[in-house]
Amino acid sequence: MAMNPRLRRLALTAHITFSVGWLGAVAVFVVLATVGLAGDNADTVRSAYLAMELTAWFILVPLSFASLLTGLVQALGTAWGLFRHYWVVFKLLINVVATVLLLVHMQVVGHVAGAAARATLASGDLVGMRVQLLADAAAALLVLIVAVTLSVYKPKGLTRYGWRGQHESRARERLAATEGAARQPA
Amino acid sequence: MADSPSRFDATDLGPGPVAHPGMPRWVKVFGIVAGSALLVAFVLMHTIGGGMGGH
Repeated sequence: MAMNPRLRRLALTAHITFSVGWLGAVAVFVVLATVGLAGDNADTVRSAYLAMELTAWFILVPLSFASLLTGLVQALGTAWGLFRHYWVVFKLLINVVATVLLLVHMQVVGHVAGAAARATLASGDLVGMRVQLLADAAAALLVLIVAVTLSVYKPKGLTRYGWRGQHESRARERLAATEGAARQPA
Repeated sequence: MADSPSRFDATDLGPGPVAHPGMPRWVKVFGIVAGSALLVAFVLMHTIGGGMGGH
């Protein structure tokens, strides 16, 4: 299922764009959550939470799914595979868990944004949820930075599945080479 | 994933079956750190608590 080089580059470009875009949007989310939690001006606080809801639904959620999908295409369409290398497995886990947690997190985002839309939020209103928004966003940012780091450094390490596959393909190549040599005239 | 993996990710030890060298150290460290972070986050969310997810 290997992609040709042009298609591989296109898929890689898409994956990088969506993944780094997701990271950038989470960074914005951290800023908005900080403003919402610590802002003095009621209008600014309200705007921050309304912007968070829009950012989450229209940027974070689509980009998280796009990153996951393009990551799967990249893994399955190249020699890297999905379960052969530990760094790929970890990136997949990070992406899936982060996407699921983001969807769960949307309830809190919606609740706080809804409250902000209905009335001015006093500094003591919904403190737990507002702190959670900031903490979750900061954790997501850290986790996505780890994912980017794994992508760049690609630390070595084959899983058992990858190790088995590699040795089987070596054995096949050795056998083919032996048979080819045996067919050569003396 | 700009570069393809090298043909052999581990040292070529010659013909014949070779045992899997085991999990690399960075994977173990990463797993321990990630697991600890999740545990700490879980404990924090439940002890700090009533406020988290509540009003």
